[in-house]
Amino acid sequence: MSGTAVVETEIEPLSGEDRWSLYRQMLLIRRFEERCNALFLQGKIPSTLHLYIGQEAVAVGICAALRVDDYLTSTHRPHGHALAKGVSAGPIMAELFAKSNGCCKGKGGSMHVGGMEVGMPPAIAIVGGGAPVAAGMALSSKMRRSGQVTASFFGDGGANEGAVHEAMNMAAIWRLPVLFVCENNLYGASTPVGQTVAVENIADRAAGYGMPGVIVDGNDVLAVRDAALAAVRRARAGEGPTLLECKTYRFCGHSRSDACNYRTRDEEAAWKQRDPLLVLGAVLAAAEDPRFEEMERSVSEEIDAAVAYAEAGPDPLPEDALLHVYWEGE
Amino acid sequence: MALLTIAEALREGIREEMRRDPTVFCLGEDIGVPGGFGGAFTVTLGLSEEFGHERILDTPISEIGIAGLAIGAAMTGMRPIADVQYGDFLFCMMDQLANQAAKMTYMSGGTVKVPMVMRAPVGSTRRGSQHAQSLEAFFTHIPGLKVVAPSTAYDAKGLLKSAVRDDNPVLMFEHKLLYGSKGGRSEKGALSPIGEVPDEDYTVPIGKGIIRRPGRDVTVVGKLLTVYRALGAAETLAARGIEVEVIDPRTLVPLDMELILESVRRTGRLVVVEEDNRTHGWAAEVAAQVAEEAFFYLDAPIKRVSAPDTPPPFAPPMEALYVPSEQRVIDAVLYVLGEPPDAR
Amino acid sequence: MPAEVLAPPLGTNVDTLLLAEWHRREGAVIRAGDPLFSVETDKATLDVESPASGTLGRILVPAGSDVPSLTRVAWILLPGETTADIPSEATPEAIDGPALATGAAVTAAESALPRGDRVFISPRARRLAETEGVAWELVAPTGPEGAVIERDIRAALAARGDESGLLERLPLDGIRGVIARRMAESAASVAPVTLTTEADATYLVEHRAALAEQGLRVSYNDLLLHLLAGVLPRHLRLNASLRDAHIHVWKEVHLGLAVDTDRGLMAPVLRNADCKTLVEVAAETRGLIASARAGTLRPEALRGATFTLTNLGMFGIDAFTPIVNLPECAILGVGRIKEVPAVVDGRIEIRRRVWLSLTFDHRLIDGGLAARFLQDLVRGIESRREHVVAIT
Repeated sequence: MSGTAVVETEIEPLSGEDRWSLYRQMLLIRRFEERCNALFLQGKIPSTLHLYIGQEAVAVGICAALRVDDYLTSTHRPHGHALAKGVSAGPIMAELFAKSNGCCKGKGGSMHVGGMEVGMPPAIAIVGGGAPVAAGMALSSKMRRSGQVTASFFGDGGANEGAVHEAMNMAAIWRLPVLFVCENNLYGASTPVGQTVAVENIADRAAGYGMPGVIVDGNDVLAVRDAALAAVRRARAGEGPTLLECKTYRFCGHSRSDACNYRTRDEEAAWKQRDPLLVLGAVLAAAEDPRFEEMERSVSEEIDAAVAYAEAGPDPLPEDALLHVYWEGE
Repeated sequence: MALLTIAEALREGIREEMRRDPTVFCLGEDIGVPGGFGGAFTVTLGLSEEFGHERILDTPISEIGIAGLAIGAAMTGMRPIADVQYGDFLFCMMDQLANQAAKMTYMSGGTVKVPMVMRAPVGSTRRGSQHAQSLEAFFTHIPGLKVVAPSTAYDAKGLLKSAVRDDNPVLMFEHKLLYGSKGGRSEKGALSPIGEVPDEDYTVPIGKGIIRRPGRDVTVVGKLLTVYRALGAAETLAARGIEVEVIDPRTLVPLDMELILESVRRTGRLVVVEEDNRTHGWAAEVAAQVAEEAFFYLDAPIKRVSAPDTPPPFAPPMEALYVPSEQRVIDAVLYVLGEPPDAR
Repeated sequence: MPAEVLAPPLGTNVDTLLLAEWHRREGAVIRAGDPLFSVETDKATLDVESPASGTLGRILVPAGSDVPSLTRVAWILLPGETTADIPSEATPEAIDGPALATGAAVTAAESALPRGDRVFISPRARRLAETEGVAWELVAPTGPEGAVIERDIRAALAARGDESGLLERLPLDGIRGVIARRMAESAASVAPVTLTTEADATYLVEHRAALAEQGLRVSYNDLLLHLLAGVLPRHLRLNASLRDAHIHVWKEVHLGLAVDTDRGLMAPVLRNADCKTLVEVAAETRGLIASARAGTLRPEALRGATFTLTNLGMFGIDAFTPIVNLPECAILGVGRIKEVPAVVDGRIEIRRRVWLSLTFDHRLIDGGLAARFLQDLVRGIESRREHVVAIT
């Protein structure tokens, strides 16, 4: 069970309908993030944004393997994770608008969206900080014999945090039901992963913890889903955690202020050939298939509704800042 | 009613809470290993025999992990009691406590709760600089954490139970010289107060201080070990006709300022005794609040008796200077009374 | 001994004022009357003149400080004096002296006020001292850093003796304090002589009634002020004040009128009374009295009188001995006007008569001058012609 492994092929393939569903989720994230970018430029969103564009297949593929009551810890780039896990677009958008009907009532903002009703606590924007928390959620489900699994997302940057190391080790020794999902988008902010990791693959480190490490094409949602499902089954069976390294690429800058001068336009163009929407789209149907346009329309309507929800939401009162420092009850 | 040390009282508190509520469990380093110590100061000694090694969970030496696991478990239906072997190691888990535990409820807009307990021994006890600090001021400065500091067996058990039942992260500071740990884990110079502890279920509410000794002349506020320094000073001064009121806040966040203010309004004088470093310390905060809220009742400058702004030293003569002594409390009381200091 | 400079009393309800600016530095040579510093109240900014000629020896209160009225703010060295002549602050020995051996609070204001260096007191002790009216600056301190603390105030209170019959203890501050000081000063320095005489006020009464018939309501005070303004220019030595060991004789007549108010006695000033008609006098006086009672007088409305009138007739008083309003030379007290049988041209008639009491400072003038002035005034009151002229 140690060492880098290729995903097993005993996972049954998804039906056509389910594949369209994954496509729609990825499209929703893509168009949501694009809309966020536009709204930011209009001044409607008061904070910087870490957009998920390009990495949609990872969140959607992992969450396709999770139940609604499974847990997820996210990062400073959480919109895609939240949408994929099932947080509604409206409350996420309202949170970005800093409205009191946001998913964190305006106390979180872009970097802390979440929804405990779908198993996602506020995203943890301290790099690597979510991994031990995820291990704790997994410990909890193990002790409660609930069968729940926790997916912990972090990036190639987060992989180098001590917190991730401690979490992986503890999850491995107690066989906690965790998926450590490393979204390796090749840059920790501006620093190339080759400067920060000595091994070829971050998944190679799994052997050191005594857990399987799996390398996945992070732009192929079906591959991610299959790998995740295998890991989830292992976890639910009590066999412990898996480290999934999803190789992917962010199409935007690290944050709104990043012009990406540390990487080449050729590299970006090459990755855009591997756009997760194109990769799955090619599997689904011919490009001129009317279902694509229909889906665009439906996604656009969903985002319009989310923006309307956000715009209609009231601003929080200044004194609301003083609430919820401590638990005030349900 | 039983006569217990603080370590025993904490153990009984944990035992009763674990029997009462199956979601309560302990995790930490060396807390349940058969043949081990039961934690560095014997608090969890024997508990794994009753509750097994899943609920008395021995961890690797991974403080970030201990804190993070406690947070994750607390957010998802469990009530962990995490054991920090030495309070100094809290710095290792600072991100988890300050950024995660303390802020989850807030960042979620009040929808996520983190009902966890973190127990941490403090106090300078001939271990040098890294196993001796009093860290209260660091953690009382973080909104979202509650902080308790019991100095008697009764309060230790009662506050432990309140902390376990509280829906917020509660940090419990315990003093190494007060545990009363026995055998190989006993401490040189320990006070090891033994106190009466009821057999039946009881709690000590978080946020309520107590007057340990009433007096009309000077209010002395101490916590943990310095409560006993203050009581000793009060006894000595009583023989000279000076009546010192000793207050033990027991909880540091939220602080029972009403109790302290009421006392200072009566006595007009305040001395705050702490083992923390002086500058920007816990005593400074108490002094500031009293100066703000009871200024016109003050009859003398407020005095702090604190550790100097140095790391805790190792050599006993230096440590004796570092940890506030009874005599330093006496000197401070004499000062605020306008009396000449004792001759040396 | 060097001359002390005090923050001025500004009358009305001004207890403290802001010492805004020193116009001269320590060491500067100054003459009496030179502007020395300016003060601000919520109503006005005033220059305060040097009370003496000499050298500005020591400034005790820096610019920008709030000071109670009558606080010593500087010492002026008289010719031949040096800073060594400035009285030193009360020493601890002095405070521990016999008067305080029993913990008694010293009440004589001159004994140690203020010490020069600041006396510290705990907030708690200050609160108690103010509640109980203890002059804490004079209490022997036993607190940390030599501060006065609560027990020191308690000791002073205990030393007050039996106060079981005491109804209340009122602080001698504000206007009361100003009055007390000025009265004490007057009593201590003036050589007062009071001349009394009785005048026939029948025409005065008739005159007032006739004016009322014409729709002009004036008070007896208005009539008397107008008469005084007419008589005083003929007796200018009474229209004078004593300053810097010089008698200042004024050519303009500014009449102070003592007014009883809820806050205490005040004397607003009717300026240039000798240039005003009766109608103007009546109107202006009405305004001054109303402002005095409302507490809205400007500080300058209380300054600069050359002679003062005080009238207790409305209280049924026949005659009394007024106290000179320093630094003025004289003050006229007027009693009630009452009907009495009087001999007129050898026959007994019912006349209206009034007692006049003129107190003057014998340092400035002698009795003859004062008597002639009073005589002249009586003549004015009794003269039908004076009143006829006044009507027109």
